[in-house]
Amino acid sequence: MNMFKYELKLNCKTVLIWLIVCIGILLFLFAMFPLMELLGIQELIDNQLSQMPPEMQEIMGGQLNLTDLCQYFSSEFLYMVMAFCIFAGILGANALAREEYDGSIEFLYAKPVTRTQILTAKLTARFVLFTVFLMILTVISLGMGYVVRNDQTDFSAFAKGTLLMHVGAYIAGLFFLAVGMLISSTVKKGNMTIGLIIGIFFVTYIIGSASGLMEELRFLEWFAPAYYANPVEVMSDGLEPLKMAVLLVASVGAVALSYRQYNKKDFYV
Amino acid sequence: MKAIETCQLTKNFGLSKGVFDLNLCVEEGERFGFIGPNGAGKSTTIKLLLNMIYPTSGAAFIFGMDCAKESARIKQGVGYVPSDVRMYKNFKVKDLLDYAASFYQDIDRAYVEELVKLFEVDISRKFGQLSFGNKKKVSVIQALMHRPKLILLDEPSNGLDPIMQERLFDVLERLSQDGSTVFMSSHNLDEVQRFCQKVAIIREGKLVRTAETSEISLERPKTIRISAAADVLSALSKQYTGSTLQNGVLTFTYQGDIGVLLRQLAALELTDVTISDVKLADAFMSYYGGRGNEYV
Repeated sequence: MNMFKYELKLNCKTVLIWLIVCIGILLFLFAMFPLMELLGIQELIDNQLSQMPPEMQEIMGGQLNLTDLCQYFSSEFLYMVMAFCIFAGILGANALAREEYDGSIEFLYAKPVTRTQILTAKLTARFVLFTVFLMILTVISLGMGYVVRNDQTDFSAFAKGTLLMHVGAYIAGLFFLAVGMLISSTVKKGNMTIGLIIGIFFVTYIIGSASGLMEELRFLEWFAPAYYANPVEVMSDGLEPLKMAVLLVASVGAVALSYRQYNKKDFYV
Repeated sequence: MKAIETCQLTKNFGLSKGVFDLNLCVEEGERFGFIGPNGAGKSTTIKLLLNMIYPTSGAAFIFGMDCAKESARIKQGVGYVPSDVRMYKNFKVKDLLDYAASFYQDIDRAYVEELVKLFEVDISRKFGQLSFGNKKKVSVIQALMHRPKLILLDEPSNGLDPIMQERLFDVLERLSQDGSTVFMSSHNLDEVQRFCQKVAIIREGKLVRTAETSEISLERPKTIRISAAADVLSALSKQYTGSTLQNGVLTFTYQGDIGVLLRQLAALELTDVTISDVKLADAFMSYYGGRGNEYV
């Protein structure tokens, strides 16, 4: 429990910074919503999109009505999903490798603790921090949605869709947290882990983008965890249980593998 | 009971780096010095004992428990002072010490405060703001706060000023008197000679020698310095090969029955004679200074 508490304390500042940045982005996004109608941006986008081939329209989010709060927010929320996944990945990637990189593992592992206890404390602390982080942002999204809603807005539909989008993003984030932990428990050079997890995220994200280009490439979306919780689809059709299950199983697998790796790893300080 | 025992302990990093077939035995309550040059395998051995790294083959035991399998249980009774002190730099020293204390039951807070006062540590400062010497002091306090049964020190006096070194050895002395085992690796051979009862010498990952500290010094040759008339010195210099004559003083190394030498010198007209004990440092140098294995 002592390690868990100290992990919370150690990472509080990082979480707070990410929280402030994400809240700032959310406030900006919601502040922009009334302008979609007022400044005729929807018309502008429709004109631009109509000149693009259908495949590109698909990548750009298709024909969306940005004066509708649900469609507007779901189209913009993909950026938030990206931020959550990257943040969770960094949390995981930093977890174990940083102790080795900074040399503090020589202090920690000289104490009467097992490697399993160290990993569990770090994992649970990050799990709690990421959960609280997402919960706060969910509440802010709902609150801001309520503030900027217009006459067309079905707020209960917006609230349900927003909740599901956050749940989807949360599960995708947990997957990257688990993969980050796996990298952190395996890689010898502690300073490489963050670069690796960000690299993995963007490679899979690009693969996910390519999946929308043509029907034959549709299968590629299975290799893009961030797209498992595609906000536009989640807002309109809800979460896909199979994709969520795949993410959760893969996360559990990555965590199990992390324990295995960490328990046989040499600490080079 | 053996405090530390290693059986054919090997950690092979490749390119002949690591430790090889190490058989160490440290009895409970002993003060044991572990000496060797950089890269000889001292820190690797300590890291194997702490299960920071796994052995390629062989095994290490502390108080009869396998270091790779019962590491957490072992560490209840172990205190470790690393050579290079790196901890959570954004934490205040007080928080770090509280954190360290939280891993043990029944920590004597008065004893921790006593250590803090003894080593003159400012606990209100952030760890990252401290000088290397002060970081070392924090490391010493967190390692000794639970009065460990086994104290592992890697270059303990490194970074400490002479006063703090003295205080550290006073604390170690007291813990040793209370039954703690002290295992220290050091480059400071004089402190090993002064503090340790036994010494092991490691070279290129292999144990060269384990002996009583006094034994190593006693069996070493004596350094003899003689002042006398030129003809006397000239005669002696012919007898003792390797002797040097400088400013009217003949210096040579003598190994053998000291009585024989004294009887010979008594028959001569000398103005001055100095017979000095060879320090552990010289013994150490003989293993590493290219003079072969004459004392092995």
